[in-house]
Amino acid sequence: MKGKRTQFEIYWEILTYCRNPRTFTSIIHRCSLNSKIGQEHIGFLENKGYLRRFEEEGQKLLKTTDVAKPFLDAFKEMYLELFSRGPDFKL
Amino acid sequence: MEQSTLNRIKIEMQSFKGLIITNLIGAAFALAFSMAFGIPKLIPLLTEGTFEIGQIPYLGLIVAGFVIGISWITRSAELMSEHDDLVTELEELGPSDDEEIISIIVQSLAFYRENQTKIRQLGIVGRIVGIFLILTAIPQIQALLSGVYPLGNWMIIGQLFGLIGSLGVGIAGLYVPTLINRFSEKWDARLSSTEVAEERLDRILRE
Repeated sequence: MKGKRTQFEIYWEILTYCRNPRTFTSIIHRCSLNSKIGQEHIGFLENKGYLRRFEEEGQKLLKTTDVAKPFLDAFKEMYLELFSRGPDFKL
Repeated sequence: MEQSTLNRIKIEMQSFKGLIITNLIGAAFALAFSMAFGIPKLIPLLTEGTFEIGQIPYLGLIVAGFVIGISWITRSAELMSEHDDLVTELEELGPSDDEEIISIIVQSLAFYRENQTKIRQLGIVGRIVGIFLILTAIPQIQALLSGVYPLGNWMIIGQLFGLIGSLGVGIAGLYVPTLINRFSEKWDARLSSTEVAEERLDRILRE
C-alpha cells in the first residue's frame, strides 16, 4: 500500500484483515505500518474492544470482534457511496 | 450495486491511465521537437567549434525542452507505475468482492492524496509545452505560406508532418490540463466526502 491513508482507513484495513486470526507481524506487514505506529493503532483498537488478543498453538493472535461491526458497516456504506454516481471522470 | 460501483471505478481508473499515457506521449514529442528545432541551429557549434551569441537562445531552448521533457516523462512514469498496480488489482476483482472493492477505493484515495501536487504539475507542464509547440508552429506556417522554406519538392511532406505534429501535440498539451482539472475537481470532492465520513466514523469510535 502506497500513498497517504487516514487513520480510519488504516483501522478499516487492520479490522478487515483480522477477520481471520493474525499475528502482529503479519498485520503490520500487510497494512504497511512500522512497528511503533502499528502498535499504537492495534493498541487503540484493542482498547475499543474491536480486536481481541488470544494465544493459539503458542502464537499470539489478534482477531476482529463483533463490536467492530458498526464501524466496518459505516465505513463500507460511506466509501462505496463515493463511487455510487458517475462515472465522474471519463475520457 | 457493487457490480456497478466496480464498473464505475474501472472506467475512472482506465480514463486516468489514458490521461497519463497521453502525457507520456506529449512529453516524448515535446522532447523530440525541442531537439529537432534547436539542434540544427547549433550544428556550427558542434562541427566547427565556433560559438556565436545568437546561438544562446537555441541552446537555452534545447536545455529547457530537455529538462521539461525529462521531468514530464519521469513524473508521468512514476504516476503510471503506482496507478498501474491499482488497475491490475482491480482487473482481478469479481463483483462480489465487497471488501476488495473498498480496498481499491482506499488505495485510490491514498494515491490521490499522495500525488495531488504531482498531478497538478503535469497540467502546468502540459500547458507550457502546448504554448511552446504552438509558437514553434507559427514560423513553420509562415514559411510554408510564403514559400521560402528551405526544403522543397517531396520534402514538403516532412515539413507538413512537422507542422501537424507541432500543432497537434501543442493543442493536446493545452487540452490535457483541462482534463487534469476535471479529474482533480472530482477527486477533491471525494476527499471532502471522506472528511465528512471521518466525522461519522469518529463519532462511532467515541461511542
